[in-house]
Amino acid sequence: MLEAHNVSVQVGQKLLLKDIDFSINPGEFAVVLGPNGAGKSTLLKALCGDISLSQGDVTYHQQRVQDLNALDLSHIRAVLTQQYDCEFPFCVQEIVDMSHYVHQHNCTPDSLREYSQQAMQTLSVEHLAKRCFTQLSGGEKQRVQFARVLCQLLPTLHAHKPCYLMIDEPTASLDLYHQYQVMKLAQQIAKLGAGVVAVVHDLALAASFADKVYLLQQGELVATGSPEEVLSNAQLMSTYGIDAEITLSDMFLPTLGVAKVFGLSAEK
Amino acid sequence: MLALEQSLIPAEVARKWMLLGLIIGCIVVSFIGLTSGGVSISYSRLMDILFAGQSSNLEHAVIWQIRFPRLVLAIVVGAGLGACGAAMQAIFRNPLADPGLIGISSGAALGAISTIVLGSTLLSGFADYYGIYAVPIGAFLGCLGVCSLIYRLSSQGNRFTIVSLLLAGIAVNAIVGAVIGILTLISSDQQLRDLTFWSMGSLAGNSFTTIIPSLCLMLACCFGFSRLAQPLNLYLLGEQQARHLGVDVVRLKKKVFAYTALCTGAAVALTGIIGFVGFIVPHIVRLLIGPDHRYLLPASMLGGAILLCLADLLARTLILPSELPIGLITSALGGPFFLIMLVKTYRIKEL
Repeated sequence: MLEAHNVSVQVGQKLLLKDIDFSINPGEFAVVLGPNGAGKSTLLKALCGDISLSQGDVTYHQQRVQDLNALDLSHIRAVLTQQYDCEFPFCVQEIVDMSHYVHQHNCTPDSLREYSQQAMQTLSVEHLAKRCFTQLSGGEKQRVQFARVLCQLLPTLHAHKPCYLMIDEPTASLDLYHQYQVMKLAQQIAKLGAGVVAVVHDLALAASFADKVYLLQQGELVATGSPEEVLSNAQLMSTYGIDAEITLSDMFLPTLGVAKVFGLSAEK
Repeated sequence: MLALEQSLIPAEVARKWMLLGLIIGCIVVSFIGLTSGGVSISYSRLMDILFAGQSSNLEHAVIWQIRFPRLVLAIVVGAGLGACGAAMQAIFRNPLADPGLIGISSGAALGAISTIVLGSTLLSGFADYYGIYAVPIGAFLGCLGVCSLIYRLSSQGNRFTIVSLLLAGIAVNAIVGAVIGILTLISSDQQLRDLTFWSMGSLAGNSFTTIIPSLCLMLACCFGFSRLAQPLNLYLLGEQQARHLGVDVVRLKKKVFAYTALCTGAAVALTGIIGFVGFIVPHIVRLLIGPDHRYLLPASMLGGAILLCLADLLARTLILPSELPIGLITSALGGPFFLIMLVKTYRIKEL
């Protein structure tokens, strides 16, 4: 289990996270939601071990994250970030194969090649294998990076060991189809046995796929639970300041309806 | 940044052939270098001298005392500069970076010029004690001094960021430049001539005994670089991404910094400043072989060696009996070649 106990992060005078408790089991899909500046990405970084905590602990199976070295950590968690500024002309296959570094000592080259193949198939980027990464479209780049991250986790998943996937706004530069596809994939990876933590902005996307939602506001955790519990009208009004509701229907995934009278004026 | 069409990134097999080609090219250039010069020696004579030994005549002395040490120096310095350039461009994640950014050229220049200009006055003890080694040692110490100053300024505890490195480098380079300017101002005509030629580089006048310490240091650094190929590849994805893939990024940066300072410092101490090799060779090689450091680093070493051997061959044969500074040749040779490659790549890209 990946846990955060009482985590606070302070940078200079600013308190970015305050007393956060968080936990996720392998196989779960948790989504972190919140308005801009609520500390979503900071929480994700704290869970990854990217930033030092001012207070509290992040533990992977009772081991504190700062006690694990970079290589140990890379065996049990992978991260898909928002931006990739790789300017050097690697081809797609090379980018995906970079994840082999993690497992080069405990896997054979042949099995690693197979994992690459499998990851690229899953993300349907096989046909791009020989293309130059710098010349792909934003969506293709994101999928290629997703394939690399998946390839990093596959050996651990295959060994039936627990592992975690962190995703920071995976859908930011994607069109509608790929937004849902990426979230669906994240859900599949969770079903394979990884604990997935995703930061997203789109409430409807979160409601469609998440098992568990963490709602942040100004660095504090304001609600936790299933999407239906957390994304209630009252909660949306108090956190986002808009009158909105998640609508469920039989034929479609949940959608977000926003009241015509916009913003706080609706309260009057 | 240059971007290659997918068809131009060669397959794994092709890359191995290219490496082999570069090795053969390096050997061919070496033999040409050994046979030609002021005293022309035929190929069969060369074989006799190299492998049969014995004959202690003029030709024997020319090969073993002059050309062979010089050739070895050219190969190792070229390889070292090429590898350092490739590693610097990776660590700054910018193809325009070169070792000068972390203060190597300015530091070495400061050390060498101080020794030349102040050797008879302020630093006379140092200059007398080390004799003909005073300038190389001064250059090496200056290089390490300025590099470690930049390192101190840009690293705090477990932090070592590229932006702070770049800023500290620019500031310290500027200050050192001013000191060099003052020293130049107070130098005599002969000293001015000496330091000008030093800053254009030369491989001349080195015997095996003088170059062996530097050679060992450079070879050790090249070996160190070759072990960093994979982490450097991951680093190109981004610093965060490399860390997520299990690379200890801070240690990687510190290692590259140290190897580059030692390797280029050792090279510059012996040869003076040979510009352009560290910048241009990785570029050309990247166009040929792609950005994967498992191939790029060895290919840059070989490419640097070839370029420097060729440049040295031209430097000592073009205007016999005197010699051209090698820095001029590397720029004059590398520049147009680089331009041709640039134009060709862009033309292909537009099609």
